Amino acid sequence: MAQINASSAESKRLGKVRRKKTFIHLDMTPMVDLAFLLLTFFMLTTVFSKPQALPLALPDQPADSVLPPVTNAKNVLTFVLGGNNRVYWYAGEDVSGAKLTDYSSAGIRRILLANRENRKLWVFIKPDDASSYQNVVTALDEMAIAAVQHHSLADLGPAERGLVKGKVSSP
Amino acid sequence: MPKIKPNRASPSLDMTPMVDLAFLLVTFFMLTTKFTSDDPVAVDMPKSISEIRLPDSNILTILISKDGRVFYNMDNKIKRAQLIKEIGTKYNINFTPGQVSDFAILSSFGLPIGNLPQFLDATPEERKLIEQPGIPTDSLNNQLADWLVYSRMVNPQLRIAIKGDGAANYPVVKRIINTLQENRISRFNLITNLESGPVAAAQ
Repeated sequence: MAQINASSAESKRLGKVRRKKTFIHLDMTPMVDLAFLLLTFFMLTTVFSKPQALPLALPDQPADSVLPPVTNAKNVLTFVLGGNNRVYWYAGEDVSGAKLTDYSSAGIRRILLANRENRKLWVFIKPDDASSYQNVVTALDEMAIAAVQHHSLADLGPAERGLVKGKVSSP
Repeated sequence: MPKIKPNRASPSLDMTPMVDLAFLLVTFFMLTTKFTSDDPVAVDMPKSISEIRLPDSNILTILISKDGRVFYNMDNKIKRAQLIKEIGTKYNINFTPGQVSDFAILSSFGLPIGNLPQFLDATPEERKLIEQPGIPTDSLNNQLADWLVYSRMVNPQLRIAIKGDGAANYPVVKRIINTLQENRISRFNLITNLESGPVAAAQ
């Protein structure tokens, strides 16, 4: 019980004196109140889901005299992120043959997995101004899921701008 | 008939185990807690499968709100006090000691530097009512670049993290990424929430 028996030591000392039955009653209620107040406070202010970080390393901006490395077009895949969660993709330099896909697991992921054998694969992510930050993060995330070694963010070329603005070829 | 004596002893409930548990939980929460930072705007972060935890210290956070406003935050009070003095000399603004100590404990803010002294003079309650237009990031008046440069000067170990709203438009993000690259910061983190579910289906 939440009581302190104060009589035991005394009764030993005095020998056969009638054992005192009084207990010191300690009222714990205020302490409990405080304990629960603190508990509630900490429970409500705490953050359990610490944010995760998606590391992104971009190439240093090269000096003007340095030409960017040349890549074989056969190994290049380009994803153009448009507005309304649309993704266009094409292989190599064939912008006109671009196809429409989406962010689901049957979209970008399937295309990347189909090209998994190609170790020299370079993927360009070209987000249009109409795309959202979520689109870019999802696209980068798909690269991480498919373990694409080389991927990079780039700006849209004129042909790709036309692609996003105008015609939509069927998937 | 003898009268039945009413039992005068108050029913005493043994609270000890409950108190034990309560204090155990208090201790646990006290030790594990990390307070929610009171950002001036709510940011709904995009989801990713990345499980890399963001480090606890030496973090510079660039907040992007849904409507494209940019906010700045850095941890470490001492470095923040240094930073505000340094950036004050650059912009010829003299911050009073009171303003400097207020800035040191401030969380995210998104104001052009000219409005900062006035903002710091306000009480914390008044600050919540002030509409923050965001830090200018356009190429003519890129104050974010100055904040970045001076922050890295006072704290070279700083890591840069972008905490953007998933619905933010990409051009804002692109402008910030370009600003980072212009200042030779090519490694940074995008803060995301953990996505669950579809990843397992893919494998």
